[in-house]
Amino acid sequence: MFRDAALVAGKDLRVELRSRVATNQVAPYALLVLIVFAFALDPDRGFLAKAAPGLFWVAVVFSTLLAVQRSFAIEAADGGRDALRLSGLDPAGIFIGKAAAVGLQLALLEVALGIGVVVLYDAALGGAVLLATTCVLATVGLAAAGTVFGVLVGGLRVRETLLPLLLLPVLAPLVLGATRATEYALAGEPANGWP
Amino acid sequence: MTTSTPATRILGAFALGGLALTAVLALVVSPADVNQKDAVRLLYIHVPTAWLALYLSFGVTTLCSALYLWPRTRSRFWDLAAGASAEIGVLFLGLTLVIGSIWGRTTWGVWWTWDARLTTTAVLFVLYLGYLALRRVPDDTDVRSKRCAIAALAAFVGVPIVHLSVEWWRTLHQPASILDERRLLDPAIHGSMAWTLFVGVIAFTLVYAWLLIHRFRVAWLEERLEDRVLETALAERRAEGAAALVAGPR
Amino acid sequence: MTYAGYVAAGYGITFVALGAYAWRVIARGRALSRALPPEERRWR
Repeated sequence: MFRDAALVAGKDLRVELRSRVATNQVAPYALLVLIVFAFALDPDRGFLAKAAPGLFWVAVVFSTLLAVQRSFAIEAADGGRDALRLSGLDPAGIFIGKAAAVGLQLALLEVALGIGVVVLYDAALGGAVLLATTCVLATVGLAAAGTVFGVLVGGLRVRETLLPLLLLPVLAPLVLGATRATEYALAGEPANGWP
Repeated sequence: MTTSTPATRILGAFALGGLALTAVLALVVSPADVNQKDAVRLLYIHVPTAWLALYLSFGVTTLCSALYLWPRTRSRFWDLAAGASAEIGVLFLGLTLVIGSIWGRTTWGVWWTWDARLTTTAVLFVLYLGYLALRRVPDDTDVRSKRCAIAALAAFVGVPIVHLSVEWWRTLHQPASILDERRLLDPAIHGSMAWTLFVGVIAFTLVYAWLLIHRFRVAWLEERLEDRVLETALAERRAEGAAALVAGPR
Repeated sequence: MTYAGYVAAGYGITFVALGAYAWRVIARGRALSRALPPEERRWR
């Protein structure tokens, strides 16, 4: 199973390396989201910095949508989905492989977004261990949930609109947890638990 | 065999020399500022890269895109030149933002602020990143080139906005000291700082020219390679078809 | 970090970025030139 997963993950990452969609499109999109937040919210001293953990995770979630869409768009062309099923690869392996590829792209994006948030929102860094753990766990969750729903809607023509609708409610608790953990890591004490 | 020719080697030598001279003038010869101390030395990178990116690189991209779109002058040359210039422009603009951020850290105390000049520059940066992404989308060459040319024309609208942002809004970034109709003949910069900046602009322009020529040639070769690969593949398929005919139905 | 440190970092980043980009372009040019015969060029 893990060998099949490595095969699929390797294929996905190689496609990404050749087409560079994540670096050329998803990363600038993530940066744009941060910029648009600054337009929409009050850039006065301190406000963006306080909201930084939440804005960071919202940007990551939006980027997850794109990354998952892309992950299944490359299968949709040329009958890739049927080819995968007929290939005899372990289905669980395919799932883990695709989720791993998405997760890796997300992890790199999070590093870039983290730098963006620190520079653009004047956020402070701290609590490295908690921050890293939060990111790892959250990324695993995002990638796994994203892949599950990506598979569900992958073959449909309305997948672009359906995926966010199905995925975001599922990700809400994850966003909540990740944001609170990040706040705690950065500031040393969490805000009130409920939004 | 490379993309170099004797002319580009000479150009490259001058560019390198120019950069070295700029560095010496900027770091050693020119004075530190009264208020900013040594931080002002970043001016000699920040301003040239900004001017080169906004006005020269993106200007060339826009001009070449227009020439490509106009049927009378349409040719692969303009499309590839537009792309090469845009890529270098993005590099220079990115440098402008980074060096500006470092400079801001020393003078304003922050790595970033959402004032009009910085915000519009960041938006323009992402705009041209989008243009570069558009160039990579695999498609029929003419269709893609036309699409990119129109996108380039649209993106250039951002350049005057960036330039005038310090006039239209109250910004932390200072207003134009030179590139302004009131200041052009009487700039707000003097003495050794002024001609160090001048040398810097010349040096970076030479760097731009050198990079542009090489990047254009790389793009040209890439397109030739693509065509050849396609021709080879077509020839192979035809050969297969002929062989099948000779072999007859199974 | 003293101001000198920031200035040094700035100049360092600039030269590294320009150098790395120039290197990449030249290297790609060499690789492509190897893959194509000389008549494909429109320069000397």
